Amino acid sequence: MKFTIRALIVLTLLVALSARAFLQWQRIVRVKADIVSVTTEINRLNFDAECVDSHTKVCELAIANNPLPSPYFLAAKQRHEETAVTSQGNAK
Amino acid sequence: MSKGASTKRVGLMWLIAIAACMAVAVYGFILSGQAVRLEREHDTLQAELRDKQQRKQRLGELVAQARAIQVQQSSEMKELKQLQKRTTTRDQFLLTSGDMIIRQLAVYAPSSERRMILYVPAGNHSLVYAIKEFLGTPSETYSALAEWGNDHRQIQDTTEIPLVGETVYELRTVVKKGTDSSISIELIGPGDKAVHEDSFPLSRLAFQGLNNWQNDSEIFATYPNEIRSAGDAKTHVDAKKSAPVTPLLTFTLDHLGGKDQNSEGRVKMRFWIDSDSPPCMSDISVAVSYDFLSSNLRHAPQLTKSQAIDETFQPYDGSSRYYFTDGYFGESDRFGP
Repeated sequence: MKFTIRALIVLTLLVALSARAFLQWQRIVRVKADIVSVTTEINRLNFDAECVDSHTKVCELAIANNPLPSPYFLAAKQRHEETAVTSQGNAK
Repeated sequence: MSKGASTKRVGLMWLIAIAACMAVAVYGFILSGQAVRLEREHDTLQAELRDKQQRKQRLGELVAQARAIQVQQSSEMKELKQLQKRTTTRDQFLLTSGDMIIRQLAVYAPSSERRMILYVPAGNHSLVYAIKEFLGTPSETYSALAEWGNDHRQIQDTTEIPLVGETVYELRTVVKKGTDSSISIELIGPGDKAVHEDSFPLSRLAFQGLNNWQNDSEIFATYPNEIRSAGDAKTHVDAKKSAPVTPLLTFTLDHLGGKDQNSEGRVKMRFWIDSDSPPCMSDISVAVSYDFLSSNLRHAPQLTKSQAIDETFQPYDGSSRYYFTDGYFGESDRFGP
């Protein structure tokens, strides 16, 4: 009886450890597949980081330097409105 | 079987069972360590991917924003065109400030003339024009007419009129009909005074009427010596290797009847602005076409895209333009250091 219990314990331990090893192996397979997928995606996005940073800087400066509406456009509109007011005054 | 042998066998079995348990445990432990290492590597790669995606996305948003600015600037010009669509004189011209050359043809000018209102920004500029007669049938003159003046700097016999910066001018081109046909050019400056007047008699051709005039009432705004698109820049670099000018107008008078029955021909006129400003591109254009520029402007595959841009343009000075590096357009005494 004592022997049978001991044998069962050892067998259970062996099965449990094998199951754990199998799960770890599964985990490794899954992570490896994920790494392949991420690496593929990185390679697809494989750009010149310096170029992206430089382009980003160019864009930021250009956007900051070109306010909308443009100052000369606003000045022209103001001039047009003043002309229109003067014309109306003259017409009266 | 003796009791001793049986005990030995059982002991051996226990030993094998424990050894198997230990082997499986150690193998599991190794696999676990490997999984942890791979997960760390995966996390690092994920972070790198996220970073790249974010940078790419941010850049995409900025480029879209720059494109929207380009579109909006074009809409402003359309709105201005509406505001001053009845502009016939320089006094009515609304655009009187800024650092761009702005021009518009007056739509309501008399039929025998064309008027162009022109604002020039601060700086040293000259209005340059050239007129040339081409004698022969349309098929005989076709190629010479098309080629003449493609490179403005190659044109001989030009007339150059210095312009004052931050001033609005009116350029009148009047064509007199009849046997004494002539083309007169008049430039009106501040105080409605004529800055320049000249007449070009059509010596061998009798002008019959206005044909094939460029009927263009759009407003055009451009920086002095601006190259408008990446495509222009590439073509320019490849084909001309000379500094650009700011083209204003090109007119062709064709189907002219000769003074005698045997003569036939056309007249072509080109007007442009020569400025001492270095060739440039607007910063918005550079932002929008950066990839194209960096791949095409410099024929130096060993350079990275960023280096190609640095090689092409002078260091950014915070203005709304990128100036090309000295000598980029070949040998030129106009754009020295």
